[in-house]
Amino acid sequence: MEDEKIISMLLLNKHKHLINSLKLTRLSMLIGLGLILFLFESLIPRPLPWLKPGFAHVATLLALYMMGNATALIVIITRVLVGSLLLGSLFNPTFILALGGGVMATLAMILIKHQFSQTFSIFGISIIGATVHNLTQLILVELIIVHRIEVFYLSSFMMLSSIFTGFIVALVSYLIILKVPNAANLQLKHKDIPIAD
Amino acid sequence: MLFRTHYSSWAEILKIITPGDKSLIVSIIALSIISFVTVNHLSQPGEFLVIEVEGKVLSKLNLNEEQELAVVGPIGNTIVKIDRGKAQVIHSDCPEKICVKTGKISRAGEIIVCVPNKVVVRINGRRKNHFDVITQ
Repeated sequence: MEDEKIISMLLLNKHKHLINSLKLTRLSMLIGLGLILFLFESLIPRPLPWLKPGFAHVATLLALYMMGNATALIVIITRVLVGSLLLGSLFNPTFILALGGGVMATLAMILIKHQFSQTFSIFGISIIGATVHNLTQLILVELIIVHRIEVFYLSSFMMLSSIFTGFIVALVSYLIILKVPNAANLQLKHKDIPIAD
Repeated sequence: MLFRTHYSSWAEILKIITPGDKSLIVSIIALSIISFVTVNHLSQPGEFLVIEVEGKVLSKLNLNEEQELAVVGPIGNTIVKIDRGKAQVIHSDCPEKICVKTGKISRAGEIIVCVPNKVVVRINGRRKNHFDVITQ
């Protein structure tokens, strides 16, 4: 009986929570974009070990603005999981830092976008995300690896750099959003999306 | 408001930056300057070099004595060099060499961390606590 119900639900597509194929495709594309940027970024030599442009967060920001809050969380978690699987850093301290920073930054962006969507544009949201990401990682380094409060010496430099990286990530995301047809509609009504030609 | 499709110039794109964004940027810059000044004010010249492996203190060295020391961690050697009051990791077996790239440290509270090899090199001053309160 239960199985029949589920099958009929799938066939009729009545159930609202069932993911539709268009949504699934867009989600996969965003995760793929995030992964490519993440791997590309890991190849760039960094002048300072803690300075990273964070291009992979373009995918998170796009998911947040084009498909909604839950999608942004799915994108960041999947991207970090698969990304560290590819880099061979799964479940080591670097992975915990990336996951913690990413999830906290995304949660902060979701919250701020929900509460203050009129006050901050995509640039402000992105800068908040970058700052929260950096500070969360500092706190995690203190808690998990070093156990010394001296790591907070880096906090001022990290905050300054997160303004630049957050701004660049927002600019790239915004330019992409402008080029995607009906980007604004994606978040609001999933059913009525005209297929882009 | 946000999703217009045609823009004639970069200046027009940047027009979507709200006053809220600008005050956010200014306040983050102010916050970072405040924390930089606070940290610099609290720091002092270092006296001792403390080397830790896997969270346990391995040795305490005088910063004024010139010497080189090989520390054995889980994945290999980390060689620490002390020269004229400054400490530096000059070689490490870790893949990314972040500890080597950190460079020289000389002031109390400064720190070199090698995450893969679980080695922490830090400098202690006369006072034990460099911070009164940390709020997170």
